Amino acid sequence: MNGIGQGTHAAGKGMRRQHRFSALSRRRRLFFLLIFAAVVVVLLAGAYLAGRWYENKGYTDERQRMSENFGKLHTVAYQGQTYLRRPEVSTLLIMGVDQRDGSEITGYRSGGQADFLMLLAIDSANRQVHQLQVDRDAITEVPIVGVLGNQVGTRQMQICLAHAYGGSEEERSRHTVQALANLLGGETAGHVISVRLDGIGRLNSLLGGVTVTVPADYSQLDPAMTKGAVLTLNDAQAELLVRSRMTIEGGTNAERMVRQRSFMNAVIQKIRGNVKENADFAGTLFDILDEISDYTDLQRGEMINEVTQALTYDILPVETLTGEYTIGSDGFVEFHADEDAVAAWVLQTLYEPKK
Amino acid sequence: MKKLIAILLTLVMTLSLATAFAAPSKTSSDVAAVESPAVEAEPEEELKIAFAKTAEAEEELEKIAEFVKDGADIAEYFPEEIAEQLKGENLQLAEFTALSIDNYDPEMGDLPLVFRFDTQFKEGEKIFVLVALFDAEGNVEWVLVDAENIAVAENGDVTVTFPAELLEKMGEAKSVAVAVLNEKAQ
Repeated sequence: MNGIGQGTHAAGKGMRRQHRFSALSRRRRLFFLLIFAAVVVVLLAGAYLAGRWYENKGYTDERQRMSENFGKLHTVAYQGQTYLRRPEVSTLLIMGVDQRDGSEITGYRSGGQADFLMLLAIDSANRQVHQLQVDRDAITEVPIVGVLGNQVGTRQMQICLAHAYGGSEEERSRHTVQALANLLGGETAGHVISVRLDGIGRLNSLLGGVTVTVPADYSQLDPAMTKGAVLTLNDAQAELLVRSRMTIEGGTNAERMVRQRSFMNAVIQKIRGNVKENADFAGTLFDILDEISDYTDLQRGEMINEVTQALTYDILPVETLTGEYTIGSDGFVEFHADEDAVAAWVLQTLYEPKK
Repeated sequence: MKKLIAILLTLVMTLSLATAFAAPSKTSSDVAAVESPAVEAEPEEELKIAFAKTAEAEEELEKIAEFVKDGADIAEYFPEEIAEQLKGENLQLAEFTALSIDNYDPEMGDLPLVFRFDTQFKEGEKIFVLVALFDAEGNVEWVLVDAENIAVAENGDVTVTFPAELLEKMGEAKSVAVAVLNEKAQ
C-alpha cells in the first residue's frame, strides 16, 4: 500500500507536478497548436494563392496565345466586318489534268495543265454542297520551281499552269491548291483529287455510262452528239464533251466549262442513284476514284464518310466567279476574277459574320 | 439608221471578242519566251533566236543536278575564274535552256535579247547569266556575261546584251545553252 500510498503520494506529487506540467504543457501545446495551425493555414493559403497565381498566369498566357492564333487562322476582316471561318464546312478541290496515263513527265515543269478546277464546299451544318468552278485562265500568283525543282518564287499567270510545276503529282497538286488559295484570298482547299484525261472515260465507264442532254451541236466531233440529244455517253464521247475546245462552238474555255458542268452534274446524279440502290456504293466510289485519280490526300475512310454525307445533302448549282476576260500581252486568254465576287463567295460559303 | 449601225457594230465587236477569247490555251511551254531583236536583213537571212532542246544541254543539266544534289555550292561547278566571281553569293540555278541562233552576222554587232523565263525575277535583283558553248568533241566552255550587260525589268523580263564576240562564238558552237543563277530564297 505504502508503496502504493507512497507510490500514490509520490504519484500524487508527481501527478500534481504532472498536472502542473500537463496544464502548462496543454497551454503550450494549445499555443503551439494554434501557432502550428496558423502556420499551416498561412502555408496552405500561400500555397493556394501561389497555385492560383501560377495556374492563372500559365492559363492566361496559353489562352491568350491560342486565341491569338485562332484569330489569325479563322477570322478575316472585310469591309469593316470580322468573319469567322465555319469549321463545319470542309473543302475539296477536284482537278482534271491535261495528261494521259503513262505520259512521260520530264523535268520539273511539264506536269500538264489543270484544265478543270472544281472546289466543293461541303457544309454539314446546312446539309449543302457548294460547287465553285474556277476558270483555268483565272490569273493568280502561281508557285514556280526552278529547273532543278527548287522553289524560285511565283509568277502572275493562268491558274491551270500551277500544275505544270513540281517533281511529283503530290507537289503539282500542292502548287495548284496554293495557286487557288492565292486566288481565293488565302482560303486553302482542305483536300485535293487530281484526275488525268483517261479518268473521264474510265469514270464514265465505271458508272455504267453517264446520261446527258447534249447542250449544243457537236456532231462534227461525233455524229450522235446533236443539240438536245439525250445520250448515254460512251467513254470517247465523255472525253470529247469535257475536253474539246478549239474545234467546237466559239472555241472558248467558258463554253467548255458549261459542258464540263453538265457532265459533272450527270455524274453526281448517277452516283446518287447508285448510292440509293446500294449503301456500300461509297466504298466502290472510293475504289473508282482511287483508280482514276493520279493523286489524292484523302484517306479511304475519310473519303467514304465525306461522300456518304455529301450525297444526302442538297447539291447546289455550280457557281462561277464573275470577272473580265482579256487577251494578255502574250496573246493568251486571261480571266481576271472580280475581287468582290471572290470575297462574296468565300465569305458567304465558308464564313459567318462575327457577332 | 444609227440604231442599225450601233447594233451591227455591237455584233461585230461581240464576234471579234468571241474570236479573241477562242485564242489557244496557254500551256507551260508558252510561259518562257525569247525575243529576237529587229535587225534589217533579207527574209532568208533573218536573225532567228529561239529556245531549243539539245542533248548537250540536257546532259549538262543532269551533271549540274548531280553536282548540287548533296548541297554543293553551284559556284564550284564552273571553271575557277568564274567560280571566284560567284562564290559567297548563295546561288541556285533558276533557269537553264538551250538556245538556237541562226543567221547571226558579226556586222549586226552587240545584240540585246529579251528573255521571259518561268522564274519571275525581280527588278534590280542580282542575277548571273552564263553561256555554255558546246563543241563537237563534247567539251563545254562557260562564259560569264558581264553584270552591266544584264537588266531585269519590272515585269521580270531579263534583257541580256550579248557582245558581238560572244555571239560569234555562239553561232559557231555545236550548241549553246544559257544558265541563270539567282540568290536562293531565304
